[in-house]
Amino acid sequence: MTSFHAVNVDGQKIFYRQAGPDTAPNLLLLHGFPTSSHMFRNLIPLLADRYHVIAPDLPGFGFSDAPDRKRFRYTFENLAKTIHNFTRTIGVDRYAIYVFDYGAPVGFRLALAHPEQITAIISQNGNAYEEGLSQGWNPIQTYWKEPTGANRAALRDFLTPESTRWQYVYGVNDENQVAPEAYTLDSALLARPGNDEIQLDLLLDYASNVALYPKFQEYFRTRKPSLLAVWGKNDPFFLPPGAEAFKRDNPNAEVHFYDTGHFALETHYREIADRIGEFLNRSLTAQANAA
Amino acid sequence: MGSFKLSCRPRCLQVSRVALVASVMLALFQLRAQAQGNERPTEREHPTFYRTKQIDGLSIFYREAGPKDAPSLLLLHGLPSSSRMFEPLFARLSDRYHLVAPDYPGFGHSDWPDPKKFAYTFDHYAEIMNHFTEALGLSRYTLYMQDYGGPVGFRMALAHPERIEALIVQDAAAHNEGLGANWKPRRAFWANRAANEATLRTNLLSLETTRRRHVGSDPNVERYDPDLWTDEFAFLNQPGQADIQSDLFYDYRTNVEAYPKWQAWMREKRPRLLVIWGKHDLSFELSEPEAYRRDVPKAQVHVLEAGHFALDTAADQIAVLVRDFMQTQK
Repeated sequence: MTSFHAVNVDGQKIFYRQAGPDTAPNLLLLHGFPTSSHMFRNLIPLLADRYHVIAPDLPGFGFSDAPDRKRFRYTFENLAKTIHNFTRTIGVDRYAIYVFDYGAPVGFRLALAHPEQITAIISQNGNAYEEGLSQGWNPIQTYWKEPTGANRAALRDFLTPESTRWQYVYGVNDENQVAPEAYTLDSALLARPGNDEIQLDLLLDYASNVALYPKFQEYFRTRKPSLLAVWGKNDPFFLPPGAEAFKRDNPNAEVHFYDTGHFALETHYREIADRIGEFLNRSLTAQANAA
Repeated sequence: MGSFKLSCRPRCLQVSRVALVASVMLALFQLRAQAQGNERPTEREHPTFYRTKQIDGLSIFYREAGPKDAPSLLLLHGLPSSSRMFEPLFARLSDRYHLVAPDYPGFGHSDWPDPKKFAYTFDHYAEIMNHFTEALGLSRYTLYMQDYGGPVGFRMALAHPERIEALIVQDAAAHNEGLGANWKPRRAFWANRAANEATLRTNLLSLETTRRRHVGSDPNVERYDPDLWTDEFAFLNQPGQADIQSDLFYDYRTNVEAYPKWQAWMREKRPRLLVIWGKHDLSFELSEPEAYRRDVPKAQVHVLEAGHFALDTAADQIAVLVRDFMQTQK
């Protein structure tokens, strides 16, 4: 059974879900925008019989603290630092990472800084290649290039309840298979006072992720981590070429597409859980044999 | 900016939602052309569908899963939740049973008509839910009733006993003694609504109450997902909700008046009855689950290590109890 916890990391509360035996291999799940560990609610029970599954909420998201922007700079580098310190706080020093959307630049930073801690990587619509970025990023790129008030204000469209729902249902074959509570909860948390400015700060800092893509790619080339890409192929933000590109740098990368959207777990959590279980079992067994 | 090449055309500098969506749509066309899906056709055997149906001029939202020719379970939710509370059962029972869980008007993703134009009463809810089952062609089903699901479901059962295969009561009261000390301000509200309106709204709708309904007296708070009450509280804070919930709760007094009638019906009909109760439930007295055995001596009564929304933490056990109960029905 999943349990729900909070720990103090660098003076702020980090909320996390946890399930599975703590003697089992660790799997760290890193969520995306504008959601939280809630996105893993269906996946966690399907892996917790074999893995110690941990899903924190990033600062500013879900039930973790959302410190004032004057006290905490909302950058992906700081999110990665917080998550690294979180893993130390809860005593998890080696783990596989599942990265989605914002979770990817956070998780890949952890891998760059502490490659010895990463046992395997699962990227679900977690991008590291320019060819993975759709034209949906254009307004955001405009803001990177000219960080004006007007360009910032234009991105508020991303924060509306309509936009949040759209991110969940776009590219899904049957909208009737998407549970409404996911976007309802995300919208409720986005509507908290001040959360809009936090999200706009992170959208601005997303440029730093793109700047790091060559470093992430170098890491894939040199370390050749066990890597599984599971990708909703109709994702309006991250395109299938971004998934295929993993194979260019890492011949061991495995890529699987699903006929669904950005939040692929909402419709395909069973299939994705099966794929992850098979992949982790194979990768971790091979590592144990090699050691 | 790093190595990112900005490929923005002048058009997209005038950013609007239309442009945002349009540019994404364009990307999608390219994407569909490029995608070389190596996905095997995967079959999720019994996915949950999130649907709506027009009933009496209202959009009624419901979840549905499982084979349609399997025995049906009609799941009626409590305050201030929605069909969402049954997600854990959907995940565990949809292989063998046809599960249907509607949201009442004024709850979840069903319409929330203006209380000036719509009577928020349990009679009205039961009538609409009966029409809902008729529209879906559900002619026989086992009722799973939690909290408000009790007064809705008992009314449905008394109106159409021929449709009821069996009853499952989970943390829903049908005896006056089941309403303990914390019902004092609520009974005062029923006796004099105007004088007690403000107290009742706090008592019923605050964040603390919303959380306590889940956690109750359970010392293991780490077993509870805070999304549960965050979701409910977000709904309760929408415009118009306080008036809706106050009207409906004022009508709750009619449930207490109807308890003897429901008890008499159970004594006479002796329906197959499974009672499931969370022992950390603070909404009702812990004498309540056993009280059902007075009406239906053969009732199965199970008090679990759980709260008012027992599915929050005891879904595995409840799924087993429901499965066993449904299987021995034949």
